[in-house]
Amino acid sequence: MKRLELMIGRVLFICVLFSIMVTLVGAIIYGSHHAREVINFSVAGMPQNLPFDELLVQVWHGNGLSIIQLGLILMIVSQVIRVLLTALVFVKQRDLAFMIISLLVLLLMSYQLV
Amino acid sequence: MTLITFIILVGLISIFAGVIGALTGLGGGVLLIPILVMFLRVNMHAAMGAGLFAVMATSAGTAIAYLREGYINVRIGMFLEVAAAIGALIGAYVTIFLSPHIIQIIFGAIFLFMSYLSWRRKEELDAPTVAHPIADYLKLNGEYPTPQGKKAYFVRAVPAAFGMMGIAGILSGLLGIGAGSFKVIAMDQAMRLPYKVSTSTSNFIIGITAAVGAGVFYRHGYVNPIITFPVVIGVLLGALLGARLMPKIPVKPLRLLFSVVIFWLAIQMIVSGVRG
Repeated sequence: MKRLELMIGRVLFICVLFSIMVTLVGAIIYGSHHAREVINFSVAGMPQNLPFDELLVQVWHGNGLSIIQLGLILMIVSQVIRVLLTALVFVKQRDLAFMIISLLVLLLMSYQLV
Repeated sequence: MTLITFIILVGLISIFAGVIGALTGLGGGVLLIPILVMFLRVNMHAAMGAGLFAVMATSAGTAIAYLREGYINVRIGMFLEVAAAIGALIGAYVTIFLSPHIIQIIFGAIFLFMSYLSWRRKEELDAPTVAHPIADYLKLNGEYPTPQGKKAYFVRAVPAAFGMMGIAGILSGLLGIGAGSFKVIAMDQAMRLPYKVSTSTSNFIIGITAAVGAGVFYRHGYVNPIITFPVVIGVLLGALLGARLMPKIPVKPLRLLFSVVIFWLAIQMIVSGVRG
C-alpha cells in the first residue's frame, strides 16, 4: 500500500510539473506581446472566460492567456487524478467502504468541472 | 506597474511565501493573499483564486517527501476529505457572492483566531488506547514509524473530527487558503492522532480541498491566469527550497514570528475591509 501511495505521489508531482510547464509556455507567449503594458487587477473579472472547447481552440491558435489557463485546469485535474488513482488502489484492495468514500470525493471534485 | 514587473514581484513574493509555508507547515496562501490584496492592489477574489492554486502546488510539491516518511494515513485523510470537500463547495459558493470588503473582515477575524491558536499552549493529550467504533469499522487506526519501530495508534472522536473538517473545508473555499492548521487541529485534538500523522495527512488532503474550491472559482471567472501563473511557480519553488532548508533553520522562533505577522496582517485586513 505504501509503495503504491508513493507511486501516486510521484504521478501527482509529475502532473503538476507538467501543468506548470504548460503555464510557463503560455506566459512566455503572452509576456512577449504584453510585457510593457500597465496592469490593473483591482477589479475582479478574468481577461477572458471561455468554455472549455473554445479554450482549446484558442490554445491551438497559440493564445498565451488560454495556454496559461489550460495549465491551471491541468493543475486541478492533477488532484483529481490523485484521488482517482487512490480509489483504484482501494478497488484493488477490494475495500468497498473506501471505494465508495473516494468515489464520493471524486464526485464532489467533478461537480464543478462537468 | 507593468506586466513584467508585476509578474516578477509576485513570483518573488510567492517563493518567499512558499519557503515560509514549507518551514512552518502553515501553507503559502495565508501570507500571499494579504500581500497581494493590500500591497499589490489585487482584487480579493483573484487573490483567493491564486491562493487556492498555491495550496495545490505546495501540496503536490511536498507530497513525495511526506509519503516517504510514512506518517500519512490515507484512509483517515480520504474519509475526512468528504467533509472538507463538501465544506469547500459551500465556502466557495458563498464567497463568490460576498463583497470583497466583507471577505477581508472575515479573513482578518479568522487570522486573529489562527494567531491566537499558535499562542495557546497545546495541552498534551494522552494517546487514546481505545478507538471510536467508526474508526474500528472503517479500519482507520494505523501505525507510524518511531525510532523503536512501528507504533500503533487509535482514533477517537470520529464524528467531531468530521464536523471540524467540514468547517476547515468551508474556510478553505471561503478564503482561498489551505486551512491546514484547522485540519491539523481536527486530527490532533479531536482524533488524538500523533502530531506528525496529523500534519502529514493534512498536507495530503489540503490539495484536494483546494482543487474543489479552485474549480468553483474558475467556473465563475475568479482565477486570473496572469496573477496565478507566477504564484504557482514561485510557491512550488519556495516549497521545495523550504523543505531543503528545514533541517537547518530553527522552526520555533519562525513560528513565533509567523504568528506575530499573522496578527498584524489580521488587523490590517479588518481595517482595510471596514474602511472600504
